[in-house]
Amino acid sequence: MIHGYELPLVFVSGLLGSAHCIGMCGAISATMNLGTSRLRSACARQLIWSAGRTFTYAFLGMLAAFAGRRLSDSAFAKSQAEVISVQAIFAVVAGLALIVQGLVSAGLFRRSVQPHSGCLTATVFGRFVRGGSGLGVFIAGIATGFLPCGLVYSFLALAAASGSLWHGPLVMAAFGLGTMPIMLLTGAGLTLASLSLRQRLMKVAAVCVVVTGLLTCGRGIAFAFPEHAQQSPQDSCPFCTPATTPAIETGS
Amino acid sequence: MDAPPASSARCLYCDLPVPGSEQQAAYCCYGCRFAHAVVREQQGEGAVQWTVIRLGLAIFFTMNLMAFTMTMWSLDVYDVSPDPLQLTLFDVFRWLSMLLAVPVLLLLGTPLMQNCVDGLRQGRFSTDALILLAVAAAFATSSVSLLAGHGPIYFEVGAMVLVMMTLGRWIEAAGRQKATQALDQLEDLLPTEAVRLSPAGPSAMEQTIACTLIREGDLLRVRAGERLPVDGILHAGHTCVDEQVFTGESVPCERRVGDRVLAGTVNIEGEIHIKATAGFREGAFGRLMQTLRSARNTQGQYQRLSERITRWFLPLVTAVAILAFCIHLASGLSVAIHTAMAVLLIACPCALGLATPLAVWTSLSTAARHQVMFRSAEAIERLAEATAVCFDKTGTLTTGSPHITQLAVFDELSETDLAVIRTLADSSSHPFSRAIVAYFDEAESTVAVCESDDTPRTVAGGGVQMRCGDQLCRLGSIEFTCCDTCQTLHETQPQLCVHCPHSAGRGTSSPRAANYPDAPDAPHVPLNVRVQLDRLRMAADTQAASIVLYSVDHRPLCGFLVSEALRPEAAESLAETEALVDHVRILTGDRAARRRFLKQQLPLTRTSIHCQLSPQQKVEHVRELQAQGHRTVMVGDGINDAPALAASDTGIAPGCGADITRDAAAVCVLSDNLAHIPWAIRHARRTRRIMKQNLLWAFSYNTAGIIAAACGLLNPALAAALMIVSSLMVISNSLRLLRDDTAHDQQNIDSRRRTASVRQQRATPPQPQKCAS
Repeated sequence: MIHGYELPLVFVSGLLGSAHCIGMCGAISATMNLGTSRLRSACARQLIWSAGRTFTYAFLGMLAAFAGRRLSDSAFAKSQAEVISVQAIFAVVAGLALIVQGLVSAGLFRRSVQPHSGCLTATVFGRFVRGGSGLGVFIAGIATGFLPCGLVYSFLALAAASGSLWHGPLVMAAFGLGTMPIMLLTGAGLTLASLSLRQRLMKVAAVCVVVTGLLTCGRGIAFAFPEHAQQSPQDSCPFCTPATTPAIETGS
Repeated sequence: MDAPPASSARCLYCDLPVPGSEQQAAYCCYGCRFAHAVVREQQGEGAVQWTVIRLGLAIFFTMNLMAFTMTMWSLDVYDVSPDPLQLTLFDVFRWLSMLLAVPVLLLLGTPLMQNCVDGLRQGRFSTDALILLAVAAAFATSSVSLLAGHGPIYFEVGAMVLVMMTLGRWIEAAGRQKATQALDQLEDLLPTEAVRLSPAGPSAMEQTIACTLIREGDLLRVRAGERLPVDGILHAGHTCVDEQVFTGESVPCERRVGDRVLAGTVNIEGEIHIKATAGFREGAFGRLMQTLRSARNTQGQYQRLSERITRWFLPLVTAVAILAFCIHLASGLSVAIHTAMAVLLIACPCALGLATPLAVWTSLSTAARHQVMFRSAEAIERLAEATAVCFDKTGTLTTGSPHITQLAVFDELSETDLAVIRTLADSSSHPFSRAIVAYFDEAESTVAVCESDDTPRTVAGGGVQMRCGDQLCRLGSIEFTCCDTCQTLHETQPQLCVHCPHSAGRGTSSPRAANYPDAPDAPHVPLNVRVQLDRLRMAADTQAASIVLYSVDHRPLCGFLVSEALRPEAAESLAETEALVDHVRILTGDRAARRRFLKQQLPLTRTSIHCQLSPQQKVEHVRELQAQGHRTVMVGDGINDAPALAASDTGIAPGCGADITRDAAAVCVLSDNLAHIPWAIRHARRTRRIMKQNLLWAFSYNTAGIIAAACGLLNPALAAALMIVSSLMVISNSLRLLRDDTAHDQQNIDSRRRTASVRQQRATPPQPQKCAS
């Protein structure tokens, strides 16, 4: 189910999608540096925090993959296998979610930001993401990983589509690792990119997420039609060959 | 702080009553104990948040444990024959599972056990102990299987249950605290520190002290913009205060030396010194808080119902769990343990116990923020059932400050006349004079100030007069302006004064005319003026208004019709009330003319207005409505019409202001804004609806959940998660009451804006309103 090009693409999506992460989790990552002024320890804290986050992503990926596998192995799904494949549905849903996510971050849709103050869990959650000692920072990272995030959910759908207890976590880990570099830099207090460059990067990130979405969608569609299934799915996918090359180029 | 009347102890964290224990430190549940530990660590500067880290670590271990478990499950799920390498790997995984589960048991099980032990020591029993027992049993049987080399292991169940329970109870506690702290927010309005002046000589010593140390008689300094810490008498300085906390309207009220000032109000202008007349959290604000607190301790019928259920709940659940354990023992120890654990976990006494008190508490706090004080939970329930509303007195419908509704000019008015009227009106503080000044201001007429040697004189019971050149100008009642003697007779023969022998033109015999010997003989009041005057009288009669005349040498030139204005929100509020209940009646002791006026002013279809009623007749009206099967609400000030208020099912006293303990109405509205009355009814209904929903949910959830769990249909981890969901449903449903009814708020703001703009127009320079005190 997972192809060689997919993990790097997920990584690049994470890398470039981290513009989104800075907007959402930037404030949390900044609090990890409280109580330290040295760059070295700030970097270490950011690394620990991101490791915690990635651990959660991988765990969630495993859960999603397990659920996906379980669903596609259920008696109902097996009985309907002739008609439709659960994996294909997952792939299409994941792809659509990614496309929407990409278009949102490209600024095509305005999202209404809901205030979270009314949420009961917010008070409890706030306690976890405070950081403090190294252990506290790691736990804050784990907690941050559970924060609701459209990007994470989209990739989780991808992990569910993989249906493999190994590949699910891998997809999410690749995504988590992808978000690391920029979160690390900004978290450590460095802003290398100018505003215009960041805006351009965000656009590229959006394109990258959309491409991942298209790929996933295409794979789902290919998978849904058994007559094409004899061929390798990526050969039957109309988007794969033309789309991957530019996306990776822009990313590198 | 006022001690709650009930002697029951309160939870250290969420402030809810803890049954059983007396004055010892207690928590109502494990969640509160946990949350309080977190908060205390937070307060300790630089301290390691061990409690949070402990839970975080437990979550981390559980996640790992789940990962391994999922891998092992895949063996069962996929139904493929594993190769030997996989089998060896899985054997390692089984041991790793235990390795990861033990820390979770230690990290989260120990504090839970501590809580159970403390609870039992204080004589409180909860199912937590049984759950802990089941978790320990699950761990033990899994360990035995592991050591034996065969049999199922389910370390993840115990770990998940512990994490879910701790996290869930904590979130619950946070929700509860959120509901209860709304009241404290009101209390937090008061400052914590005050500047005390020692009265030693002119160079007074200043000393900053904690407000709790303020004693009666202390001299305190309050700077501009600060809130007053205690009630007091203004000792030095001159200021305006904002009494919004009591009146609901942000209007500056003037206060001079010797005036009473209230705790919680804001000193707007200069620095003032006050002499404390009450201690901290005593006085008006203290009474407000006490009313709220004692209301929290009351029980409505729904609460009594839920308490009756809760009393049977714990023993019942324990019995069901034991029974389920015994029955399922036939299909294996692990199944029996899991079933019993699921029963204990799914049973959520929290949802049942919180269903009504939490709704009541949130409701009380929200109402208090809207200047509506319910005296008890029962008052909310009763108001919610209201089907008829009686407004006790027209005074509640009017503003209390009269305004000019009509100006009738009988003769030509010169600029000088206008200037004289203005000057006369300016000189008096009578509400009618103020109304005339406001009328001029509203018309934006640029009336020159009258140039005269004489200064206006106020004649008690009549009006104002001054000499302008050789003319005697008067502004006041008909009797006063038209003749000299009738002002003393007007009680008996008011209609005669224009015609009477002492009236204008025949005033030579008037004793007062002797004071103005140079007054020329004015002509007799001409017929056309008399006709116009009669018309004005009739208008006054229909509108229930009063007449102010302006005369020059006893010859009326113009007349003002002064009437008490209806409150701007009256029509709207009454219409809203009409929509909410079946019957609305206005019961007033005023003359019958009032009825026509009200009918005219209030375009209401279903409101009946009854005039010239004695207090006893008002009671009869209330009784009549009750006899028809209506739950009757009486809106009245409770002083004049106490019998009617007492006869009604629920009494609402509007405009209580700082005097909350003034009367015994079940509901006090601090502000006199009428919009609060339909709001209070809607709010009470909303509260009742939410209480019912909570009870229904908690009851049906528990019944269905326990049956399903007892049949062995629920995984314990899932049961723990569902228990959290159930509590959260109840808590967040109750917390909905914290959010305001936005439609009402908008109206409220609009009406305030209207009132404010009218005030601004009427009063230049700003005339401080007389505040309710």
